[in-house]
Amino acid sequence: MKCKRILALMTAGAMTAALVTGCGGGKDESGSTEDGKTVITIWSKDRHDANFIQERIDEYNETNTDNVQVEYELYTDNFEQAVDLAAQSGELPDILKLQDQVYNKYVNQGQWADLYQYMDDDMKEYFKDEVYEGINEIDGKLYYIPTCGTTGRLIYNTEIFDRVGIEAPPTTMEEMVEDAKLITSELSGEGIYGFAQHMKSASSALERSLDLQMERETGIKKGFDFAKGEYDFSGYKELLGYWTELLSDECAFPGCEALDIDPLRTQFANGKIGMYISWTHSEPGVYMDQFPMDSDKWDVAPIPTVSGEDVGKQNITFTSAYLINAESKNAELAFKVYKDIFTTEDFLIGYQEGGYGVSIIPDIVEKAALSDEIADKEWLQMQDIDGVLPLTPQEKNAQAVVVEGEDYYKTFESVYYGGEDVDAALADLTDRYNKAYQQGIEDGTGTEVKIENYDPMNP
Amino acid sequence: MKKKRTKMTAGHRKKLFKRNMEAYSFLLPNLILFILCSIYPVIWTLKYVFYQYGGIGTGDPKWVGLHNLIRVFQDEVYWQSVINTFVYGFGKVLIIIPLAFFLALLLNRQTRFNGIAQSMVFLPTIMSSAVMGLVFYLLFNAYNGQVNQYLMSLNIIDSPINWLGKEHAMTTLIITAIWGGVGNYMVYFIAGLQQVAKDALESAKIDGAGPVQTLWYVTIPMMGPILKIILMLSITSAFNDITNVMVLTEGGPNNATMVMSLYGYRYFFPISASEAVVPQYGYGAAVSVVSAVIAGAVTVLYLRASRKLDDIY
Amino acid sequence: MESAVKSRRLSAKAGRVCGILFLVVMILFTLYPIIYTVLGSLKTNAELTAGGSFFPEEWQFQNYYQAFVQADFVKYTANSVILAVSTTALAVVSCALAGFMFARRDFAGKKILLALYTSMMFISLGSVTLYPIYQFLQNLGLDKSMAGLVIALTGGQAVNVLLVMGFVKGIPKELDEAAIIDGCTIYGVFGRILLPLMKPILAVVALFVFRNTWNDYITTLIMTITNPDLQTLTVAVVQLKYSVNAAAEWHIMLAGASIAIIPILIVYLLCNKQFIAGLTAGAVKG
Repeated sequence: MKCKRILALMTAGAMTAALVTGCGGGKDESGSTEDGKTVITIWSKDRHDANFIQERIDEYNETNTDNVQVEYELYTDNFEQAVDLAAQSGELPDILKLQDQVYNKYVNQGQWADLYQYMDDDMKEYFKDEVYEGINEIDGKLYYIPTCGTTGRLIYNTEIFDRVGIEAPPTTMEEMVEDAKLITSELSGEGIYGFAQHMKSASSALERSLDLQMERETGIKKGFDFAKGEYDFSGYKELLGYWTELLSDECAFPGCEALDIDPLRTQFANGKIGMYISWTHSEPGVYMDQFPMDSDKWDVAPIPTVSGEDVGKQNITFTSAYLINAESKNAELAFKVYKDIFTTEDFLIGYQEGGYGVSIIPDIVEKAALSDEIADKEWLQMQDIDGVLPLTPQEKNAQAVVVEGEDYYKTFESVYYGGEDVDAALADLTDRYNKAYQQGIEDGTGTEVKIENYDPMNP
Repeated sequence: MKKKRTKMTAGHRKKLFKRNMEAYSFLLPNLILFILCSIYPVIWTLKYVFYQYGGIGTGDPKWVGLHNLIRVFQDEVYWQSVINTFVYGFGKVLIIIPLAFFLALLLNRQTRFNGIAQSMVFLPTIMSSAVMGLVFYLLFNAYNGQVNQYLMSLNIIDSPINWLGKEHAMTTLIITAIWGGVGNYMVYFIAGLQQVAKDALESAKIDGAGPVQTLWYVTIPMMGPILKIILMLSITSAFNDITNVMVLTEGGPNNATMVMSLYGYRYFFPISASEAVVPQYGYGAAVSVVSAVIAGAVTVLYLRASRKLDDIY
Repeated sequence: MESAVKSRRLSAKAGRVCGILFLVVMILFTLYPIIYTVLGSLKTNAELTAGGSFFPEEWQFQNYYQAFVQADFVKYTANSVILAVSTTALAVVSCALAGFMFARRDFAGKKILLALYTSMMFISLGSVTLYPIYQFLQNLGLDKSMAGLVIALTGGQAVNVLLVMGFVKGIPKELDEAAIIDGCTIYGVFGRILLPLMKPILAVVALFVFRNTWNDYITTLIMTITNPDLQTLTVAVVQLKYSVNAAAEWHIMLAGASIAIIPILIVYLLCNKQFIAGLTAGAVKG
């Protein structure tokens, strides 16, 4: 009987629901609000700076004289897919936060507006050092202006290092393995281990660590040799050997293979992990707000390499930049909104001081008054070992280098966890990547990338 | 019959037409959904087996003939996922069926207590496997999950077991699958037990058969037909389980829990938010079609085998 | 003789004890994760990440307040309810109509259609079919609306149509023949005679569709990528795992999980007989 009543309720509810869905299909797509304001929509993928930016936008909405209403929407979990699906139906917003894959995928189709056409000379002058040919400037058109960047560093617990008598953070992989073993062997009884990395997603873990090590070690970026103009994975062997050791029971935190980055950070904050590798832009905020940890207890150092000597620079990934949708009806207005909100010195300094990103504009770095916690850790800022590297063919257009089989991160996983033969795996990777690369060029989707006299120290 | 039809009058034809129209007016709502959500996707997938396609914004689909299918057969990771699917499927079925059967035997008599116990065992089957996958993820965590803590405080183990590591991830997955499904099969078995004729049981008792003998010689043979259906359902469902794998292990570590269905999926959509995919719709379609054929073949083989069993009896 | 009886009694007793023990273990096994979820949702995050005690040290009811207010669970709950109810309604109506027609009338194309419906039970391409469905809905302009989501979640319903058909076939045909003689049209026969008789099977369909929609993860996840405002509880809870704050929000995650499972739990408590009976009907007939 009760059940019948529920069914009756369900039916009644269904009718209401049908009415609701029938009418309220979606938002007003015409781009203006009821009171005649022009709506400019911004999509972001970042939650960490959402409050800061929302405040700025609210302020702008109240004060702007162009009768503009800015809507700020977050797509944190599936940004790339959301953009893909929206691009198919021409529903992209006016402004998008930069995400490399998204940018590269659509840049050749004229999806992004050339910012030069709207920039005045002052602005061009102000940001002239942030123009990187082949990356954000292509064929004389500028598509975005990076203001912040990030790169990988070794994050370590100073207290643990002190306890076992390690004086300075490791600079070579050999030292790193030794240190990790030392910590694990002496302190694992207390649940403290030498090294951890969130290996659940190999790509997420290795992008911020192994990729950068290789860049400094050999000048090869994501398996691609710019000088030779082809993929070559043979140089990864030694490094992978060390990683296999780092991830063995002798060194690593138990359960690394199923660990996500945030649980790792909680354990680090709890003092259970000696060291791990992560991005410079995210960690300070994490240990200030998310999982509070005394700033004295942790420090930052360059990621160790095999030889300890640098042949190349390690790549800087841009974290804060915006794209303007060229197909937007209000592209010019969108640019104005972008300029007024995101490129003012006040905004950039506030962003840097708030610890939301690491500025790559020297002028801003100088003017911003950093909190002691960040200022003390010099390796959180960009240094000489960092630089902006050119794009590999796969970064330029993922669809032009469609590799059959597992990508190299996953293949590495089968080496350090699956015990697969390194030489065979690396040779196979080189083969597969070059085949895919050549295929892309043949099909006309990809272009050849070869830089004559490429100097990895001066990319 | 045929002759009559050729002599059909115009009025007759009109009436027939009207009857057909009536029929289709009833079918229409479901038919639209059926064509859109069942037929069309199958045709679409079959078509793209022969294309290379990365989605809008990446160039038009390119005809590649049998290339995708050949690639499937050479793809070691895919065949690993097929093996994993079988390990998962058989592991699940082999444990869940006896468990469910014992539960059914114990709870078969319709008493109030049994009714409550039944409801409790059945409870997991109404839970979302995605939400519970998340909960199991917390429970089985190596470093602070409650499972390890209980086992350690009971002195069953002395160091944490890495439940989601490559050695144990599949076991963990099977445990959660059993949790989610045992109630279902218990109910099927109870339905089967109710059908076992009472007089057969009585006469067995009069003949002096003990409970074990009755079970072995009377109950189980009489359950044959329903057991076949239950096995069939459990096998096909094991091939389709994807949500719990996706949430609990995401197919890892190092593909240790990658199953067929998830492997095809990952060429269409990212398995988790931290994974970057380059969509390969053509190849994903090929993987899915081969997987469907494998699942279909297992079903057919099973049906054949169970028919043979009938002949023996 | 006597000792044989005794030993048999003894072994029967031992068997019983074993049986009860087995039952207790199984019930603990099935209930524990659910209890953990509900109790965990009332702990602090620190308590949860440290593992520790069974009961919360202090009952943190504000976790629910946080989930509802900060994590937007009010919206997700509303979405879940609207979706589950409308999907159920659409499925029941379409299955009732189609199942009835398949059972009662011969018409052109019936055989082919039935063959198609049956074969769809065996062809399972899995979740990849969501991509073409999504594209199709996008072409119709339904990809960002609740209506599109309802369509995708309702789906073909082949199994349920066949289930209803089987049930209707079991209803004596004389009933509708008598009605037709009395001058009823086919619509009348359906609405006035058969629909009331079909209630039990429709209740089964309704319960199962409701459960599946409420619990669905993948379909809803994919269909709401471009419009996260339509996410349901299930999707929102699981997505918390990937959020920036994931590890700091276990308590919110569990509160969300509880919010997601409690409604279906209530439906189950009220209708568990129907659930179990429905399952049996589906299995034995299918």
